[in-house]
Amino acid sequence: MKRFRAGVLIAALSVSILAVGCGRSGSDSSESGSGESSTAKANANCTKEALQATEVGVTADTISVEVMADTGSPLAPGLFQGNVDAMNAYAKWINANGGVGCRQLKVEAWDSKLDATESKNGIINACKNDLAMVGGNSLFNPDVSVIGNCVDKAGQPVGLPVFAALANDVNEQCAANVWVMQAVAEPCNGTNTGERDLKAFVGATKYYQTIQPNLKGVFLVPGDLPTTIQSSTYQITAQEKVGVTWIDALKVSGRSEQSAFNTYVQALKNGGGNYAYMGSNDAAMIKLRKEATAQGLTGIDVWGCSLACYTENFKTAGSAVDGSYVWMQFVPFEEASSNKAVQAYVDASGGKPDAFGAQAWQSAMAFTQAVNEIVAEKGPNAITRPNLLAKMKTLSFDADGWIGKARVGQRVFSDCMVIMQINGGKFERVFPKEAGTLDCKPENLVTVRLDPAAAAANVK
Amino acid sequence: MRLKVSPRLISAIVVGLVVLFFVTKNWGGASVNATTISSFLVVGIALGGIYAITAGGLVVTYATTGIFNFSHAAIGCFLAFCYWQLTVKQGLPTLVAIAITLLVIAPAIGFLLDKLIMRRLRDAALVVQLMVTVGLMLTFMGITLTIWSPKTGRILPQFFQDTKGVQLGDVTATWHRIITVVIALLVALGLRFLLYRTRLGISMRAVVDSRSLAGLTGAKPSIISGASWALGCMTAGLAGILIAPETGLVVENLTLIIVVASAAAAIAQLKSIPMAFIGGLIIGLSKSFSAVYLEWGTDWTYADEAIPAAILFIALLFLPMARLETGKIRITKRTERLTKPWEAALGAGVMIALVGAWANGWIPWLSGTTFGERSTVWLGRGAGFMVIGLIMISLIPLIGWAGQVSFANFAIAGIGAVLFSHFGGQNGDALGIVWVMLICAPLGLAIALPALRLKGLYLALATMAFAEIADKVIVRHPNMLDPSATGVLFKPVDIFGITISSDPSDRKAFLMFLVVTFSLLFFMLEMLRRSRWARRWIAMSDSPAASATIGVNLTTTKMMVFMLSGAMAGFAGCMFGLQRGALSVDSFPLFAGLPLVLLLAVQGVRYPVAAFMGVIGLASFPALYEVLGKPSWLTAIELIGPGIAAIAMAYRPEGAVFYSGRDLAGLLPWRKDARLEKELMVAKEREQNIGKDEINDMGLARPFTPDKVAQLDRVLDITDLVDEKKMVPTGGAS
Repeated sequence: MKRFRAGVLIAALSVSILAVGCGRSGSDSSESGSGESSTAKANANCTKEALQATEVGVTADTISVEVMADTGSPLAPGLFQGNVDAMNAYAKWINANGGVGCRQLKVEAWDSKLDATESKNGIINACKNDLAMVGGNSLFNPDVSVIGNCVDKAGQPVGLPVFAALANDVNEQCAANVWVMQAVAEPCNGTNTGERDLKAFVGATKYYQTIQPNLKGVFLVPGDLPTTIQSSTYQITAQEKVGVTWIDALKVSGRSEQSAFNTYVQALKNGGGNYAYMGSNDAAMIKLRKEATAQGLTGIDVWGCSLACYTENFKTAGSAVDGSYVWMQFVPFEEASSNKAVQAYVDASGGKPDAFGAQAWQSAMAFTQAVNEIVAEKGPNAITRPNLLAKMKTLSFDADGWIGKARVGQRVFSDCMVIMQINGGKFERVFPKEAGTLDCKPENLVTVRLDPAAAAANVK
Repeated sequence: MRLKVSPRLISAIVVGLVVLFFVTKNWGGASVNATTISSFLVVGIALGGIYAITAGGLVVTYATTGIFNFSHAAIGCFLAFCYWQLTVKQGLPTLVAIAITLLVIAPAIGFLLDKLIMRRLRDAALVVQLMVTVGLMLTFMGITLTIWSPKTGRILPQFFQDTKGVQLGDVTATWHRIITVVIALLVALGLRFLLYRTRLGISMRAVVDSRSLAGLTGAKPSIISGASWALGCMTAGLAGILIAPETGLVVENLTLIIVVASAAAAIAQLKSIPMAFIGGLIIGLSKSFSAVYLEWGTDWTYADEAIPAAILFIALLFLPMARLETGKIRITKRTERLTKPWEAALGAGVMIALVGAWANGWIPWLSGTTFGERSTVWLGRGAGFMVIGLIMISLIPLIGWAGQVSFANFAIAGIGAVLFSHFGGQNGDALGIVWVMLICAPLGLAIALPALRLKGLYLALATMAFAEIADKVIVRHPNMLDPSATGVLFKPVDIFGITISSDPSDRKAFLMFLVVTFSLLFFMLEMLRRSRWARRWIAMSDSPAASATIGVNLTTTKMMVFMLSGAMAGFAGCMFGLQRGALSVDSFPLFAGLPLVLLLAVQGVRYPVAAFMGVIGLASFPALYEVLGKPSWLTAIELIGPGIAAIAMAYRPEGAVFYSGRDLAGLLPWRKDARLEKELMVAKEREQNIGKDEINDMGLARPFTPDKVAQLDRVLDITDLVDEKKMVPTGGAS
C-alpha cells in the first residue's frame, strides 16, 4: 500500500540536498585519474583478450546496472523519473561513445515506489542480475543489509557496489558499499545517534555575508518529518557558528496555505530580520516570498534557498521570487556550453535537465570511470564486484569538471559551490563570476558537534 | 432537591479543561498584544474562509443528495486545474474562465456523476456510498495528475494580487482573502436561501427524504438529483479556484482539505450551511492560534496537523444521541445460505494450495516468466499483499456484518506494528504478538465508544478522525516510534519452528505462514458467521430497533465486534512490521487506509473470501506489469481503476464475490438454491427499476392507471385491501 505523503517528499529531499559532505583531507597517493584518461587506457586494452562473462551482470558484450528510483507511486507519479531518464540517456550516449569497460551499458530500471519493501526488493534484484546499482534515489530505503551481504558470481558475500545519486536514509548513507554523489553529513563511524561531529556547508552563508555582514533572520525548517527537522539542526548551528544571528528557527511545510506563512513574515518583521533561509522546498519558498510581498515586508537583504529551489516550478513563480539566491555544488545547466559533461547531459535530456537527473548522470560517470580504470589496470576481464568495490575506495572524481574534486570511496566530498540568483524567471550566476567555474575552499565546510535529536527540540 | 446536570455540560467542561491543559502546557511564550492578536485573527479568518467554502459545498451536497462526498475536494482540485488551463495557459479573461469552469464543466461533471453512478446509490449501504466517493476521489486525483504533470510548475495568481490589501494592525488582509471570506459567507447564505426558500431547493431536500413521494408531488427526481450534483460540483469548483492560489496548485494539498472540511461539516451536523461557515472559522482560528501562540515540543511535533481531526472528534461527541430508527429495516439479501464447515475448510485449503503452488513455482504457465527469475522479490511482495489481506479480513465482521463503517483499522494495525517493535519485535519474541493483540482489542473498543451513541456516517467520520489522530499524534510520538532509531526494527521470529521475517531466505516460509494464518481466520469467520454472535451483529445492522426489541444488548454486541476487529488488526500490524522490517513515522496515514476499505467493498464486504480476492486484486497490476512490461493501456486502466471500482459498486453493491459466487454456484447441478436466488433477485431488480422509472415520470405528467398504481403499491410496499379499480379513475373515465 502506497503511503500518502507526496507533500513531505520534496521537503525531505531538500534536507538531503542540504546535507553536505566532509572537508578536504590530505593527499592520497593512490588517487586515481580523470575519467577521460582512464577511458582512453581502457579502450586500448579492449582487444588484448577475448571478453568474458566475469561477474553477475557482466557478459562478453554488456554490463548491466540497475537504477532504482521512486517513479511509479500513484501519489507522486514521476517523482524521480529524472534519475531513470538520465540513466537511460547516459547509456545511449556512452554506448555511442565507446561503451563502458569494452562493453555496452545496459540499464535496468526499478521502481521503488516510495516503499521500503520495494526498495529492498530492488536491491535483491540488482544483487541477482546486475553488476551494480547506479544513479538511484529512493526515499525510503532503511534495510540495506543485502547491499552488505550480496554474493558475487563465485558465491562469495562480497557486497553490491552502489553509486547512488542521493541517499536519504542514514543507514544507506553509511553502508559500507554505498557511495553517494551528493554529500553526507554523518561521520558514519558508529551508531549515528547521540552527540557527534557533523559536517555542514557554509560557503553560501559566507557569500551572503558579503552582501550583509550582520545577517539576522529566520531559518525555516522542513517540518514534515522528524528526520528532516534533525537534519536541519546542524545547518542552523553551522550558520550560527560563522556569524548568523537567528531570530528563530521555525518549522514549515510546503503543504501549508500561504496564509500560514504570515507567522514567519511577522517573525522577520518584528525581529528586524534581514535574512531568510528556506530549508524546505521551492513551493514553500514561493509562498514565503508572496506572503512577504503581501505583508509589505521590506528590508530582507538575502532570501536564501538550497538546490531544492533550482527547479522549473521556481522559475514559473516569476517576479514573486526575484532576487532569491540558490546555491549548488555543480556547474549549472545554464552554462552547458562551458563544460562538455554538462552539455552532454543537457543535450541528452532533451533540453529538460533537472537536478536529480544531473546527479544520476554524475553517478553514471563515476561508475564508468571506476570500471574503465579497472580495465586499464587489469584488463577487460577483471570487471568483478570485488575489484569494483576496491576501486571505489580510491576513486577520485570530478565529472570532468562538472563538480568539485571528490574522493568518493573515502566519503571525502566537494567543498565547491556556485551561487545563482533568480530574476525574471531566469537563474543567473552571481558567485564566482566566471562561467563554468566553482568556488572551492576548505573553509566552505565546518564541523559542528551536537545531537540532532536533542537539538530538534529547539525548533518551534 | 436533586440537581440535574446535563451530560453535554459535563462533556463541555471536560473538553474545555483538556484544551486548557494543552494550551498551558504548550504555551510558546508569545506576548498577547495587538500585533499577535491581529496576526492571529487575520490569518485565522483567512484560513477559516478557505475551509468554510469547502465545508459549505460538502454540506450542500450531503443535504441535497444524502451522500457524503469524499471526492468533493478532489473534484474542486480538478476544476481548479481546468480554470488554470483556461485562464493562465489559454489566456482567457478571468470571468470567462470562471464561467466556463463553474457553469459548464462543473455542472456537466455533476450530471454525469448522477447519471452514471449516484442515482444507483440511493438505497445502497453506507459503506458502498462512501467507498464509491472514495473511488471517485482517487480517480479525479489520478486524472488530474495525468493531465497536468506534477513535475511542471503552475502558479495560479491571487485575485488583485498587485493591489495592496487592507491594513489591520500590523497585518495586511489581501483582497484575495477578503474575497474568499466574503464569498464563503455569501455562499453560505445563498445556499441556505436556495435550500429553504426556493422551490428547487425544497425539491432537492424532498428528493433526499423520499424520492418516490417527491415524484408524486410533481417534482422531477431524476432532474433534481442531477441538479443537486451539479450544484455540489459548482461549489467544489468555486472552492478550488479560491483555495488554489493559497495552497498552491498541488493535487495533494487541494485534496487533503477534505479532512478539514469534514470537521467543519460535522460541526454543522451536515445540515446547516451557516454553521459550516462557523465551523470553518473555528478550525481556521484554532490553527492560527496554534501557530501564533503555541509551541509543540518534540513529543507532539505534528499535533497542530491533527487539530481539525481533534475538532471533528469533539464535534461528534456533542452530537445528539442517535435514536433507534423504526420502520427502516434494510435486508440486503432475501436469503443467505450459510457456508457449511466442510465448504469453509475446502475454501481455506484452496487458498493455501493456490498460494503454495505459486510460491513453489508449481503453476506451469507462470514458469519462464520473470516471476521465476525474481522469485525472492515476488515472495516478499506476496507477503505484503497477504498482510494487507489480514487487515481487510479484520473489517468483515465490523463493517460487513455489524454495519459499523470504520476507517480506523489501518491505523490500529499501525499502532500494533509500532507496539510490536517494543514488545518483542526487536528481539524476535513471538509472545509479543499476543500482547499486541491484547492491547489492540481494547483499543478497538475505545473507538467503539462514540459508536455506542453515534451511527452510520458519524461513526465513519469518528473513525476517520481517530485514524488521523493516530497517525499524527500517537504513532509519531517519540516514545512510540523514535525518529532517530532508523534501520531494521524487527528481528526474525520463530513460530512453530518456522522463521518469519523480510529476509530473502525467510520469505517463502513467511508467505506460507501468512496464508495459513489468513486461511485459519477465514475458516474461523465462516464458523462465526453461523454462530449466535454473527446473527446478532447482522440483525443489529439490519434494524437496531428490532434487535433491541427482541432482547439483543446493542452495547455489548457492538463492543464485542469492535474488540474482535481490533485484535485482528493488531495481529495484522505485527505482521506488517515483520514484513517491512523497518517503519517510518509516516507509514500509516489516513489516506492509505481508505483504499483497503474500497478494495474490500468492491469484492463484497460481507464475505470473508472477499479479503482473499482483494489480495489477488492487489497483486494483479504488479503481476501484469511484470508479464507485459509497462504498456500504456495498462497504466490507463490502473489510473481509472478506482473509478471503475466505484461504478462497479454502484451497479453491483453486494460486491463481485457475491455475484460471481452466485452465478458460479448456479452452474452446479445440486445448487438449485443459487439459481432460484438469482431468478428472484433479477425479477425484483426488474420490478424495482421499472417501478422507480414510472414514479420518476409520474405525477402531473402522466395519468394514473390501476395497473400503475398496483405496481407502485408493490414497489412502495403499500398494502391496500380496497379495490383499486373502483377508487382510481382512469384517464378516459371523466
